[in-house]
Amino acid sequence: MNQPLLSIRDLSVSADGNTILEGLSLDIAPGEVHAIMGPNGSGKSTLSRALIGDESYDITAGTVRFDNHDLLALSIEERAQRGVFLSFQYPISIPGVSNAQFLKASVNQIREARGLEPLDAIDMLDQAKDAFRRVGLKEEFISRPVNDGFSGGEKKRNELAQMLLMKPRLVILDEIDSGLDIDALRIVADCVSSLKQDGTSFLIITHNQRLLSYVPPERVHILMNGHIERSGDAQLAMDIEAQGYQHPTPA
Amino acid sequence: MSTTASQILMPSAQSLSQLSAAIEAEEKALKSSTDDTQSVSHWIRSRHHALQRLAEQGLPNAQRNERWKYSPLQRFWQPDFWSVSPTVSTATASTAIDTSVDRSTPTEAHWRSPSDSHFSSLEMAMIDGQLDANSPILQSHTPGLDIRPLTAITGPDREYLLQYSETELATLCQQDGLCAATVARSSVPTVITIGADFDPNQILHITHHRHAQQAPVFTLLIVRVQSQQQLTLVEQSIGHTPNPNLHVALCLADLANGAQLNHLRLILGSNTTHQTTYTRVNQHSNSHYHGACYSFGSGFVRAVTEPQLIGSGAHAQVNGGFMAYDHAHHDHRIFVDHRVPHCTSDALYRGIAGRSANAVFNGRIHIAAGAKQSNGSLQNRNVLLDNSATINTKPELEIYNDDVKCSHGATISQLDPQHILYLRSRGLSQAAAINMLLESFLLAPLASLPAVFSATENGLHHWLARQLRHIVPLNAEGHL
Repeated sequence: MNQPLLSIRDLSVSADGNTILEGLSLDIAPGEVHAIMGPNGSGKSTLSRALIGDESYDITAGTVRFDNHDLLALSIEERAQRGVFLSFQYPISIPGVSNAQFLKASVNQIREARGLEPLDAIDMLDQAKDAFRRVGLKEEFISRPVNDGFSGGEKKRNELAQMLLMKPRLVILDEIDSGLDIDALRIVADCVSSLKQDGTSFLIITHNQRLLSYVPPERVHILMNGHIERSGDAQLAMDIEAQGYQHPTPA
Repeated sequence: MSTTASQILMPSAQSLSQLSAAIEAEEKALKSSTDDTQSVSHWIRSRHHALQRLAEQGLPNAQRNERWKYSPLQRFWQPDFWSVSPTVSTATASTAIDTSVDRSTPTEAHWRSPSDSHFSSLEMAMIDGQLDANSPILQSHTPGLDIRPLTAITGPDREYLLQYSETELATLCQQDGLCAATVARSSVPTVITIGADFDPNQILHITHHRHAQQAPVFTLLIVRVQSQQQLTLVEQSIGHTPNPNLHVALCLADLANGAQLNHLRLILGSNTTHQTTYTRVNQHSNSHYHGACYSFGSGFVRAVTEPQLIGSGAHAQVNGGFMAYDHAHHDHRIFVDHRVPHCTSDALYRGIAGRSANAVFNGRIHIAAGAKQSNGSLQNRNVLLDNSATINTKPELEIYNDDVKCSHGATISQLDPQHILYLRSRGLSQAAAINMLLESFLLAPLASLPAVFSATENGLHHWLARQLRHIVPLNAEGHL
């Protein structure tokens, strides 16, 4: 394996005093797609929240290195600026804050952190139009408040548009496939494929194999009891789909 | 020697005597400079009436007056409140008042004219309550715009305006002692008339400059928008003195049939700025008042907006908001009076308070007995930023008619941590995330106002948002 972009070692995470992840280890190299599957409540979303720095989760043990830096020492925004992007399982609505206003501020903040010149309003709008077109959202969504009044599928597409605009290095897709129709799944696959070619790594959290048939993962991990119980290639996801998590498939 | 509450609220006999002498001196000066003694008499009668009301009732007592319950005047009391400073009569618009204003270095430097937007701006200045004859707007003729003192009014509206001003000022003095003090202490009101040929794409931008070192400043403005005409008016206040300073600004607006007034009032409080504004709007048939009154900062702010719906088909949109911090006291009050049938009103107010600030919102819709098929709505939403701040909100309906639609409501909440997390996860600092959320929350009422206020790139919304970014003093952690 190349020098990993993300390297998690013996990570333990708790929330409200309850241990959710315990001794989790995982490496993802640049440009790789990894999938994490696991039963409900196994800690998949906790892992994603811990990686972006959600302060309602406590890191009780372990290390996480991102691009050879201590990720856990960084604030939420610093992680985003360095290229960690989470597509939320349930993207929230923010009434009053327009997508345009939010995207311009966000993209330029990230560009500034990377030593790039800020985009002016016209360039930003051009890029936003292109991203929204690619994810199948009409231009009018650019001026609408963030996710306010959006359907479940539109919210997921909005997350993908943000992903395209912010050019992250590591993308965590937390159940991006829930609530998406077959056309939308193809759009996800196109977006992932496009960014993957540029070296972006993906951690795809999912419950079923259908998305992975569009986005073939290099590695599939089964998260149970707070840590990775099994890992394998794409075949593992098909085995899980056919037999369930309790089947003792050898790692 | 400490000042007692009674000394604050009731003028002494000596103060009343000095005020009376000042009024007589002004009458003499005015009559010697004009042949129009009738208009002078109207104005002087208003001042005498105000003085009489002041002698009878004094300033509002928070313990006895519900409308001042949360805003005791002791908060901005100044020992020389009752002292009478010499006033200069503005007998004509060309009277020189003060040419020493340095507009390049206002104390609140973040406040800039909206003229940098794509709307053309007509600049007018009031200095310590009096019209600045050097105002750019007075240097050239603007079609449809007339600005002059009440005692120099001419034209077909003259009789109406004299009667209107005297009646309305008397009503205000009757109901509020601070209004009585304002009228008793003011110079001749400045009258702005919008007539035919006025270009509605222009913004009339009035800056109230305060130079008075300590004495309170009183401003009286009358705005008359003639039938079917439209005016967009922006008022803001700038202090040029480091000393504590009270400014009371009273604005009477009269909207003729089918007239429209877009009115944005920006109040920046500071430890040296204590401001009270009254806006009383007479609305005739099918007229529209679109108001947005915003206050920011510390110090004492009290803003009262009172649309009087006296003509069928009139509509009042009374929006606004406040952001109070650093022991500030912001008190916003709106009173919408539906007096005749078939009128509509809508009020949207947003408030934010933090860092030991105290804020008050009191909104009331009154539907008179004969005002059938009235439609009124009043909503107030607030955000408390920490446990040290207080917000008192009271939306009220007072309805004397069954055939109406009315609603009211108020909420007080905190910023949603999930909203902050979401924005931070997209690279925004905590400060930037909070700022974006507060800005959007506070300015949301602008969206229901005409396009001139709306969220266009160069509109007033954009301008106001930029001021907010400069003003909101968030620390590195993004807290007020």
